[in-house]
Amino acid sequence: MNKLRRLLLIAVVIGIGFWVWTAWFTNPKQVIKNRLNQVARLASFEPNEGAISRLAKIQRLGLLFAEDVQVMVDIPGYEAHTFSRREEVMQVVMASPRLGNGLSAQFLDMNIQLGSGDQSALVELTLEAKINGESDILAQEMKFTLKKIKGDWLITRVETVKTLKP
Amino acid sequence: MAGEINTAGNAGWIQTIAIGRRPKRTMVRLAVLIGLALCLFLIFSFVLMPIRINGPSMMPTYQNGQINFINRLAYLNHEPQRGDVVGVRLSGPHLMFVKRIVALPGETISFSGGCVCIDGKPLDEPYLKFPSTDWEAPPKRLGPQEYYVVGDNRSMPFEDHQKGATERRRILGKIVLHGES
Repeated sequence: MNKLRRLLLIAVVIGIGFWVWTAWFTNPKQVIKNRLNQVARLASFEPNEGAISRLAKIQRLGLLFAEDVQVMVDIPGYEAHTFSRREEVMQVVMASPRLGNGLSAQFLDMNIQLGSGDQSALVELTLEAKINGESDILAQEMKFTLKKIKGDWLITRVETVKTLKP
Repeated sequence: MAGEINTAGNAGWIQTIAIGRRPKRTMVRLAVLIGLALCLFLIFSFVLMPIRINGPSMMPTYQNGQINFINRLAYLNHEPQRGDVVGVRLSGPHLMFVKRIVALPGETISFSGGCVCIDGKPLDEPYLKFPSTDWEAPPKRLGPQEYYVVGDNRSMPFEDHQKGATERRRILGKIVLHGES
């Protein structure tokens, strides 16, 4: 019985130690991954999601971007656009007519490269987006640049990558 | 006494359910099953990657929603060939483009009147069922590690069809099951 108690105590100590380690010494790559997954969640909308809920999501989404963020979008079949500043990006998302139909977005295959001193990061990933009611999915390779600003990882640049060069 | 006999009987019954009447044989079976599962996991993760075709760009050779596999060992001994249908990865292997190679490294490709021209000569494409008559693009010379890939559905508008040059490192492998020809 004593042996069992000792084993249980050791397991508990190891568990607490692991939790403290992960809470205090967080891996920046994991923080960035969580941050980008949060972006994908906030950029996903249920069909006929209420305007207030949508607005709240877009406000929260905006907080994940730096104020002077640069977004360059060039998707085959669509006109290329460049947006600078967080407010402009939020306005574009808010005004998107397709959001009403519902959109689910997720980021796959994230390759994270940390910059010097772990103060910046370059992330290559694939966006998989599906608009409700449409059979095709949008698969788009993207590059995100993040910087640690006042202790928080914020997105400073977003650009689409041409997997197939025309 | 009767209770003890009953408990022992229960334990024996549970043991029989859990590890069978011949524990050694059960262990061997279990090891074989685990080995088989591991082999299947390794094969389908690293050798034959299962994929589901999405989108119309390879129609009618491959239909939207069809299941297929990418053979990742196809180009161990030789380089990709013209006419091969290959998987081109994006940032990783979870999403890929399935396209046909029409031009090889160093070649010059152009589209003229819907036809693919390689180094100025029209390419014979017997696999095309939905040809185009209006695809036009100026000549483009490929780099030493570049392949030009395009879908079989050329009836789509030129701008809406994802096609272009890709680096060799992005080609994951060759499609396994042949489509309609």
